[in-house]
Amino acid sequence: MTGGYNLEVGQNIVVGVELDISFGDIQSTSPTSAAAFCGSGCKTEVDDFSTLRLRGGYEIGNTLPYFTAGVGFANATAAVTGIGTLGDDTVSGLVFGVGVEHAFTPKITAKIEYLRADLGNLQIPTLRFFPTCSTPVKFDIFRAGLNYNF
Amino acid sequence: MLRTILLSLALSGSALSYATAGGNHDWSEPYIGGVISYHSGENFGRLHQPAAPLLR
Repeated sequence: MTGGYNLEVGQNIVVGVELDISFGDIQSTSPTSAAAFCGSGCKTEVDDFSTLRLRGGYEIGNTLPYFTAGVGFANATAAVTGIGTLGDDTVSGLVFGVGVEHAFTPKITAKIEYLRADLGNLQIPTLRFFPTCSTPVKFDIFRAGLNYNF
Repeated sequence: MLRTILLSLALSGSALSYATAGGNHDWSEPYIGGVISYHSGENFGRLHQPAAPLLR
């Protein structure tokens, strides 16, 4: 779900702030890896992904193309098949993207949006004499949504 | 059933006329909504481990 506030500043310029929280799993599995113990498959999973972003756009009629950037947070876990969960942590980083929102009625708008999330690396402790593993938590997000304006 | 169809058409027509009126929407409002998402990860899920100290 998402929520926010927009403000028209100057002619056709719209700025705003948006908070969204996503529930659900983002999973990826790697059959091969640079890590020696990952021959049987490594899996990284992200859930409870949320962002707090600023938006800035230029109003064209009832359509608002915009840029957006802010911070993202997610709970990430890394697991290896047959071994179990190796790492579990909250990661955060930069989120940015572009989108287009269109007003179909004074109260209802719809948008499509692309975001790039770079939430750094999830550090994974390993055996005592081996260096710590890490896995990048970077992904692309394509969204479509409906908003109700109060 | 007919009432539902007529109501749907009326709402659709209203939305279309608003969309094509050429007027500016008032964006200065709070809003709440929902999204559906598709995610794609580049190298996501791939563990990286530097060489062990004895192998460096």
